[in-house]
Amino acid sequence: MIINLVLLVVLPIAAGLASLALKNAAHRKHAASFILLLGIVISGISFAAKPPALDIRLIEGFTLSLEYHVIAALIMVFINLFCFLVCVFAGDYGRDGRDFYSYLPMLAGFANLTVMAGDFLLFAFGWGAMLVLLYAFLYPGSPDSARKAATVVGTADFMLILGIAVFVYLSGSTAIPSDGAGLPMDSPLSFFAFLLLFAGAAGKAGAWPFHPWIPAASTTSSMPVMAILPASLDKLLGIYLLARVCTDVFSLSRAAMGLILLVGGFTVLFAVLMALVQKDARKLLSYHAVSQVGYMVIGFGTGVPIGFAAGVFHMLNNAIYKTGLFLSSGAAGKEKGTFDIGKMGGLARAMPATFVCALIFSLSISGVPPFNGFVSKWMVYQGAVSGMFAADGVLKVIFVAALLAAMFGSALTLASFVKFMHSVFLGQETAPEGSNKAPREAVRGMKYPLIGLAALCVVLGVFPGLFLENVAQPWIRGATAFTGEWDALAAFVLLALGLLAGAGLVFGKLVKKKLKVSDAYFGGQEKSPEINFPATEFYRTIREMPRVAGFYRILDLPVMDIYNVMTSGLRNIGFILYYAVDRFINLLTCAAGAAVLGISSIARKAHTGNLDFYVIWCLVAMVVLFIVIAG
Amino acid sequence: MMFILTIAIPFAGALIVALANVRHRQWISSCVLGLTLLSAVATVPAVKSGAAGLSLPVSEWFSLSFEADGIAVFMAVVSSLVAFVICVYSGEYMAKYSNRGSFYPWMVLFVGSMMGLVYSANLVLIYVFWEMTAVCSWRLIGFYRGKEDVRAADKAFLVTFFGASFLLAGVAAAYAHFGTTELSELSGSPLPNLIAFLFLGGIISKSAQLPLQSWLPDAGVAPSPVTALLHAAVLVKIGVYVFARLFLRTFVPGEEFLTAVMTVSVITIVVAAGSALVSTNMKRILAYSTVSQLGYIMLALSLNSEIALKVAFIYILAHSLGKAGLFLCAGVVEHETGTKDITMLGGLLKTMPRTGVAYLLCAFSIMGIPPFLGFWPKLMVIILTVQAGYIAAGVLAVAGALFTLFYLLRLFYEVFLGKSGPQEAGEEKTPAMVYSVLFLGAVSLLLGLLPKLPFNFLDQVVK
Repeated sequence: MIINLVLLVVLPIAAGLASLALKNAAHRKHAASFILLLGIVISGISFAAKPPALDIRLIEGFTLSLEYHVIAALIMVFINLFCFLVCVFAGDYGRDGRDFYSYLPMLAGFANLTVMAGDFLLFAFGWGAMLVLLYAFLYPGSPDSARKAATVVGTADFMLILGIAVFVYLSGSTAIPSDGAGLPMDSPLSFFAFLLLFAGAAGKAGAWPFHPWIPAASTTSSMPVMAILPASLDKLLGIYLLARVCTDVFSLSRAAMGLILLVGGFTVLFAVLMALVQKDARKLLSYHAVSQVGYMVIGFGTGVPIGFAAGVFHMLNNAIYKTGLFLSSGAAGKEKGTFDIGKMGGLARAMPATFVCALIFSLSISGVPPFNGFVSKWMVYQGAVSGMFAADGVLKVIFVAALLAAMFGSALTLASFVKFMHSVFLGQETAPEGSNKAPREAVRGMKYPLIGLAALCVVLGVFPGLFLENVAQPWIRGATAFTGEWDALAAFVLLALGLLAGAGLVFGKLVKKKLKVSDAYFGGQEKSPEINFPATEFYRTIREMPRVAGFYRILDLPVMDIYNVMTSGLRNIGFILYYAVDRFINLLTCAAGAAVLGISSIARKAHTGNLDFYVIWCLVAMVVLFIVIAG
Repeated sequence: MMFILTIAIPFAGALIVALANVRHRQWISSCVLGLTLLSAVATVPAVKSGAAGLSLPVSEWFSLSFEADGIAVFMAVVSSLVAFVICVYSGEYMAKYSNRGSFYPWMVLFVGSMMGLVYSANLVLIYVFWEMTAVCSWRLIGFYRGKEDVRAADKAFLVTFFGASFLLAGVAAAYAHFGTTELSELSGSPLPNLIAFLFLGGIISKSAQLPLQSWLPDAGVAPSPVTALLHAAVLVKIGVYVFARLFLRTFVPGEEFLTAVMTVSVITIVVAAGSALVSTNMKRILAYSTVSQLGYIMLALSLNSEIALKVAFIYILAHSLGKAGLFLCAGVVEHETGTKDITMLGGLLKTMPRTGVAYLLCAFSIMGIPPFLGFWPKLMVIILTVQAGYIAAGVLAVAGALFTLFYLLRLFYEVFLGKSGPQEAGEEKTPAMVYSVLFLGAVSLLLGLLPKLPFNFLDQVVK
């Protein structure tokens, strides 16, 4: 474990800090790539070898411990993998400053430390350190976005700390339990602790109501930043915590399950509705990043093994395709000079590899078989249905609502990505903004990470057993298998054969009749740039639909943004405390001072400087003394 | 007996500085404080093998008793380190003031008084050094000699003197009750609540806890090295140090008393943090922050356990480094722009990037965000408080931490980001000032990443 600590935590952090002294961005990038590649190898070996736990005594009563949990070991591989791929991509993307390459290994180091932590102290340390790096990553894009993110995530982090404190009070130890026997939630205090830990997890993962910083940051930060934090690492860690809380730390009560399901269902629905009407590719993807968290949360709310497995599997799948989506739209945006999807269009021809990868990511996120998103979403549904049959009363109703939200959300996700793919890669070709250069395929450094991620979507979709048998089964020790007849491999083979046949027909000139391409007819008008029918306009009508419009109005209210609520709320409390307590006490202090001065001004009258006067005083005093002594 | 040097060097140094030419006072002071730091560090090995002491009887009720134990040495090292950095910083800051000559002797004398206090092993001696620090701080706060400055200095002196009179009454009552003022003879004695509350009166006035906190924000009129030294690093820590010395190392306090201290501390945390959020004066915000952070230290001490004592001292270290850095950053900004009003500032990061980075390093530590040192004690205080069954106090402590996050980020944004305010600044032309602050921020980061270093050190010296 010492080797792991050194190579996966100390080395990346130290290297990241040391590389801040390097002036050349390329040198920093190479150093970061090497460290992260090493991280992939070491974490991969550790996944198989499972090194023993290690304790480091900090002070009496507070021991830091490192241990390998089966999910943690898997997540660590992906932490290093994502960081490496994003590092490679960012090199050719060329929008990030040189500090990006110093922060990246540090981020990986702290994330590794967080998941290796066997106690809540070390966990909170790694977890919180990522907040500073989140701030550092977002800051160059927009200091305001960075502030919003730091405030919202920082709030969730402090809730987590309080939750840890209450848990320690209940359990008597700072160790994170790993035996699967969670504390029973049989008192208001245990529910309170759960609520706080849940808030911490939701805050990191970006679930409602801790999501607003993600869309805000999306338009100001570079795509590699969005890909590595809100799309992948934040999700991995947030859901990792939720997984541990729901399985190891607590034994979920009915109320807790209901709460998780409600938050999950609402997150899916509200975020996908917001995503549907976005015109900016980055905002659209960031709302989907929020929406997908809802599925993971629902998985844990089901309280059944298949649901837990689904939550973790969807976390992994989402991190893969969401990172891919951010990176592929980053590649497309770079060529077009804009992220306004109404102005992109027609990139499939110029960027075929990026298009195919983006298509795979889009199909995955929409839950289309045989890709990985389908499998984990299916498992979520299966978990929800199993939980629903076991529930009764209000909880049953909540289960139904969450299931409906998940299914409806999935349909809307597909609708949203039809818009995305059509607007960005298909549709009418538009000229790049601010440049006469024709769009070109992404260069190797950007393309290969996309291909790698797309391949993972296919592999995990076709062979879900890789996850289920190697991670889910050893972790949950319960029924995590599918019910029903679904053969992913057969479905994939059939789909691949269909695609190959189609390609053969088109490219092998088996279709004799040539396709006829005609210009659109615009009522006799000549085609001009003004005559354009972007899909964004079509989807705008959704916002104006009766009843739905009211829902959007509610979602747009300032109170729906927790950042606004907190900043104004805390400021108002601050005013009350300042004027009602601090200034009031100051007034009393000043009044006491004035009273002392008043008394002294009276006493001063007895000091005239006249000798006769002092002699009279002395005589009076002598008389008084005489009376006292004589009496 | 190395620790006697730690007291003697600054006292002798103050005299030398006062006699030296004004032009040489800064570097002589830095040397004196550097030597003080070295002698404090040199005491550590001796203390690891057991506390060292010295007692010279003067009368039946008073002895010149000093003792170097773990908490005393720790406090001496931390205070002299921060004082040394501040003195290096002050060279450029004070250069433009014609009366700067009076600053250095008082500053060195103040450090000497502080060293005397931390090593005192007699109640009367504690009181004597306590009041010496009050006189020094009164003179230092009123450095500019303007009407407002003198008023603030008078207020600070009167409020702390008001508290000190309770302390003196407590000393007298303790002598009447126990028949001695020697801490070694009083060790383990149960303390009547009346005497405990008399001591507490002095402590809360010095450490600016409610309701005797109002002097500290007003004292921000002083030059930044003074505010950093007095209000962040040293003066305000005297109260919490004496609390630890009396209630965790000497007497056995009652439960009601400790509950009252905890109540005062959590109210102070929240009220001061809320006040910091609405203030618009840089130094007032930082002063309120100090009041609030001292609440956490008092909270830890009120738990009355060995672990909590160690955590409180790590908190003192983290706060001294971080808050001194923040006050010194405010000093750099004030030095370059001539204002402390954050509504007049903005966009300074363009011209003062190093100061901005140093501010963030120190601010993250004060906020309690990892990987900075401030994280560890804040987390531990909250855990220990809740673990002891004081859930509500834990909730308020977390609320205070949230306020801290808000007001320190707000301060950064108002001063360093956004559009340039009416008061623009030139480039950073004071390298010693800027690098002093960066040093404090870097130490906060380093010790945060390697927490075993300070905890081990404390573990070895505090037994």
